[in-house]
Amino acid sequence: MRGRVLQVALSVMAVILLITPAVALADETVLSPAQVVELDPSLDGSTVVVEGEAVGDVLRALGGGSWVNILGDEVGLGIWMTADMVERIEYLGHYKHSGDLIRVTGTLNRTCEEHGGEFDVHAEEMEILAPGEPLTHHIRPREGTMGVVGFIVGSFLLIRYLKLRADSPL
Amino acid sequence: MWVRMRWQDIRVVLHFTGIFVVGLGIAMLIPLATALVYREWSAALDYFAGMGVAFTVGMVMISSMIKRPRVSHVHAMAITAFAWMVAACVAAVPLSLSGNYVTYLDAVFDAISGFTVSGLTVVVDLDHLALSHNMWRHLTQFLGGQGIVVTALSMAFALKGGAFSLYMAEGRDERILPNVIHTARFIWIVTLTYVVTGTLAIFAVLMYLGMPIDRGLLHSFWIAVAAFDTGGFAPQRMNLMYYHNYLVEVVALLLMMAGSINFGLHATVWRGNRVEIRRNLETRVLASVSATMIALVAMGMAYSAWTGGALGIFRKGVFQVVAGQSAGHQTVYPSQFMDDFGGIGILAIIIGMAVGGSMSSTGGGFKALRVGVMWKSLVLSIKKSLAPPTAAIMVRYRHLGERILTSEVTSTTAVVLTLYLLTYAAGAIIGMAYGYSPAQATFESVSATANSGLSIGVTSASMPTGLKLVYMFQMWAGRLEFIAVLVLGAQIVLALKPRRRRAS
Repeated sequence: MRGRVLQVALSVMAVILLITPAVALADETVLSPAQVVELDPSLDGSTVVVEGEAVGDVLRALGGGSWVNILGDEVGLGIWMTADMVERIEYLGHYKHSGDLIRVTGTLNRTCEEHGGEFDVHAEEMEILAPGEPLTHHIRPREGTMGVVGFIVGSFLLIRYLKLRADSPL
Repeated sequence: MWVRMRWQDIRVVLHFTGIFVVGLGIAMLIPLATALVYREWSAALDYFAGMGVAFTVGMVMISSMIKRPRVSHVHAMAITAFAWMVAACVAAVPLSLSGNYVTYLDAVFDAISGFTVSGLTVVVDLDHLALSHNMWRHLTQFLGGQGIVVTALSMAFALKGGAFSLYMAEGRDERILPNVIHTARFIWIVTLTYVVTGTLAIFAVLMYLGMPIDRGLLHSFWIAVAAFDTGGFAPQRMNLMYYHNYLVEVVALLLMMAGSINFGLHATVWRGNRVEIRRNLETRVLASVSATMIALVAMGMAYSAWTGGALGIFRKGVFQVVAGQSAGHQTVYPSQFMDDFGGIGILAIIIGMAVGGSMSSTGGGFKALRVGVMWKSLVLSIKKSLAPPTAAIMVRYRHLGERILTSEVTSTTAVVLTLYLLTYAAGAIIGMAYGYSPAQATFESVSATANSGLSIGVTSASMPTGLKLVYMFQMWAGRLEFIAVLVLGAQIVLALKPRRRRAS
């Protein structure tokens, strides 16, 4: 009998453990933007901690504040921030530079009433984890060779074509 | 009897395709210049290489025939279908060299998506892509939206007969002006008017939002091009969500609506006949379909406990219905379709994408006019059943003038409609076979075939190669409305089939 009770209790615990990650977040679980976007809709309005690279531009938000978009796992996420937080961001990612890696703690809004139904996070705290760095794009000789060979062969074919066309009867 | 292409005919197809390919190489001067201005030296070399490849491939093809030949109707079909595919393969060369595509096939996928103004993308790390590569991606939509052949025609390349056949083969059914070259040029004038106006409007908003002037100008041009040409590409991973601003979305929405309208109707309105907008069967069907789908999406969002308010329903629901019928710009994440739109909302978006825009527009889908014609055919059948056997019954409809519904129009419409539906279904079944849910597989299949570009999350660099090939075929065949592709396919099959020897 005691063994059966233990078995049932363990089963119930197992079920709870299986379900819990889907509907609740541990306090300090750090998520990527991709994970935030995939969170269960029931977590709307909860506090999330998200890390990602600040990319693109700082954009003015209607009604005050600014937008900074962060990137992680190939998904972007809009973070609404106050001016003092924005000032601390030095680099935004683009072709020639990676952006600052930032960690944001804030409120998740799947359909933000304040911002016309946007899926966003309103930052309450923001931390710079690592500054952005210049990105180098090496000049590869392969592309240059392809271009030079292409133009030489193409020019030869063009000259030959024009000559044959001029020589051929009307 | 099947007419088999001779070697002479194949040379005609190669010759004209070569002209388009060389033209494409010349178009690469624009991203090359962008790369030089922004000191993107590595990307500049990608375009130098791309131009070299285009020049060589194009000249090899052009050299297959020395004197420019006349183009028959069959040639036009084969040239169009073949040229679109070869153009995509050549346009993919600089993209592939960028390092932002996992394989060359992925770069071809994006090039096809660009030319067919679909907007599905498998690019990796888009937010760090060179401005010059973004310029090229959006230019493919600009050229493809107009039609590669129309572009060539407007520059008076492919003359000496066959120009109208080439124009028709590209999925355009109406000659807007008496001369086909003038028609092609008119299409460019309309497009440039909308794109310039849209660029200026979006630029004003982006300046208010605090973007740097040069980035703002590039972004606004790219969004305007992608919206009017019903493409759907965007320079950032978040698509239009990146800007967090409803004014950008409103301008894009208006451009997408303008892009979904028949160029013939644009011409009629430009001549001062505004009544045609209200009376045109195609416009009426387009408006009815949009209104119905918007109502269904709003219902789906309301049932899914949407908390974003009325503005949110407009920015997410209304926008996605119009975008589904045209450009495929997204203001929601793929997962939000499943979570926030409900079953009825997803179904409405799929139906909207399947119907698409107007004939002779940059929009895709099986087109609103075909839905209208099938509806009128149904009315005709019912009228005939109720009338005395001796009565002559006819049904009229308004489309750029008064027209009588003929059995030829009905049967042609039914054939094209059936081909679209079969392709939608086939792509969905293949998607399901790869393990995606019926809703995901159907959504993405319809989006690819209808050149919509909305994604529910299936399309990515990591999706199976087989599915990439299926979507590439769907985008290509859907853009050319199947006939040109079927003609090319039939010619290839006939060429491979051994000739029967006559008994002596």
